[in-house]
Amino acid sequence: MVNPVLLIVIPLGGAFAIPLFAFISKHLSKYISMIVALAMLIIVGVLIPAVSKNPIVVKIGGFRPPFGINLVVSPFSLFFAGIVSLVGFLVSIYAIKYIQKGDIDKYHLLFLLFLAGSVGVVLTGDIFNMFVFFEILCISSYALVAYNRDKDGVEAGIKYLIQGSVGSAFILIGIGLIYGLCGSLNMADIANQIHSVNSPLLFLALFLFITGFGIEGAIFPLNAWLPDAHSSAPSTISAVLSGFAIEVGIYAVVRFVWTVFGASNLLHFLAGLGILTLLIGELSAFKQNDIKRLLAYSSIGQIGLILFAISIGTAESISGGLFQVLSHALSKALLFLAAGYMIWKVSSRKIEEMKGIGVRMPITSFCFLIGAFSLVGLPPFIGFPSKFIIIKSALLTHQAYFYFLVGAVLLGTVIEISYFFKLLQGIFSKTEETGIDEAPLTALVPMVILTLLIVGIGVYPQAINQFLHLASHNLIDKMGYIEQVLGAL
Amino acid sequence: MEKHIGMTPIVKMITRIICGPMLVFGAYIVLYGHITPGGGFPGGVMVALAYILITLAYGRVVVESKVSGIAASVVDDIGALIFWSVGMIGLFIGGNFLLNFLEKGEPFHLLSAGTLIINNIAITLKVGMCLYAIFLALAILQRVVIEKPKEEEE
Repeated sequence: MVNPVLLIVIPLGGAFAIPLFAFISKHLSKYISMIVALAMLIIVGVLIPAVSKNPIVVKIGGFRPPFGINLVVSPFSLFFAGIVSLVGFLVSIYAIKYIQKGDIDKYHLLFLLFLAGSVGVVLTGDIFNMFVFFEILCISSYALVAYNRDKDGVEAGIKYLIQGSVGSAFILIGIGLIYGLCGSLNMADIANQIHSVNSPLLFLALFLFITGFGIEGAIFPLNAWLPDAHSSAPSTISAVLSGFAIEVGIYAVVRFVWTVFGASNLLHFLAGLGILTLLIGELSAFKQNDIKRLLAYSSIGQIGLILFAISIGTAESISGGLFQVLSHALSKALLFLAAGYMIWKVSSRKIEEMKGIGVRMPITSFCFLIGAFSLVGLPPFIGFPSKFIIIKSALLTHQAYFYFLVGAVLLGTVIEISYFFKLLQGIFSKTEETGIDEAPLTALVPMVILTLLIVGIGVYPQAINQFLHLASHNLIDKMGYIEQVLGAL
Repeated sequence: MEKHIGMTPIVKMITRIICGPMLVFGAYIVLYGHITPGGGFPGGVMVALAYILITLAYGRVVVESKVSGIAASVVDDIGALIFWSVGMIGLFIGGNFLLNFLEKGEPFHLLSAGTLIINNIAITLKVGMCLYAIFLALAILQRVVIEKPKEEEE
């Protein structure tokens, strides 16, 4: 069996190798990042059957878990790692032709570090190690947001840098507090003894973690960086930032609230926060006339929905939330990738300028249409089963609070429909002849693969339902997690 | 070497005297990192500081003629690759990433602790050259900022 540590080590090795290969040719780097992402995808594929039976605990350097760093490859974390490598691979194909300006070797180096950081955050079982990977993820994304070196990009990068650094500092202080209280950095070990700690500092630490990771996860009052960063970055980076970076932030919040702290009394608060995020994101998206800002605000809305679903707290709602993570990753990556070449051809991000592009770029626009329909939640696309499971599980709680929040989710969906239809109407309207033609093949292949996945899983959701079920039970089973890590002595 | 670049002769002289010992002390911190307090990171910072001191005293041109920014980033990269390779060898020999696969030797002797010395040296290359490259990048940034207003005047 392959060692899951390769999921982190291969992109790191690829990133370190790129500067040396750049002496031969800078164009080699784009193939390196594609091959590395493909290798990650294959490793995830090989690991899925083994992890479905039993989670794997990997000891780094051979040290036993409470003392050394360990990775915990459970269905829950492998699910996120799978999304990272799938979207990462498709985006790296797209980037072959799309990224032409600037130092392309540096772009691909940062992209691979970005992948390594994301996979590291979701796989690690040690809070300080998580912080380190989180920093790798954040710092590479600050640089990638400003990759175009235009005014918008640099401004967005600096905004993101400042807010992200404040978040990282919060996380570091939280880790310090936890280490002082529990004397351990291992998640399972902390989870094991956190109930015997009685100190108000514990609440402060939880607050710091939720705030710190919430900035990357774009939870409502902490998401001021997101619209700028997602809209000013190159479209490939917008696709990965929206596709999995914010989900990784949510993963970290969920991991801390559920596994490390076991703070189930906080869930109602988080569900309310999720709905607030959803409504604010959708309402802000409604009045945008910049296509990428619209998609960025829509990401905030989707993140709110994911947070709401996971915070309902039943096994079914968590699998609905994870389904929504997958659905959002595929749809939003597709939308950003399609928008990337539309913006390239029109050389403007304004929605009015996109008029009639549906006739000139039929395949790209059709993929965009599918992505938008899926995000809204129309059958038979992937967004439909995910939203359906979330709403069903919220109604099954039989609590007035959740009934009320479901109403808000539906209201958010109505707003979502209205702005996407407005956008699509513009794209598919008729105009006079312009010299715009279809996107190149390297862009069409990932878009078509994403479209096929969206339709395929939408028609046959049972394909991944079982794995999601495993993942959600794995998240709830805190004692099982502690036993897997500390019992594997 | 142009005389007017850099700081005053006093600073240059002190730098001349102090740089060698700084590098030696950095190397000592690295090589004894596994048996005394210290290691790759503090040692690497000392190595970088020696380079930065020369840059400050003699100007960027002088030090860049010895070690250019590109050379620094290549060495930095090689350091990272050495660390990565040690980890990978451990993975292939014993099944654990970063496994200490060499002979451990006798405790408190220079040649002990297996792969730790190699890792420390790799981190020194990485940290030392990385900090130096960051400093050079910042110096270039400053030059751009200073030059820009002149263009506007024209």
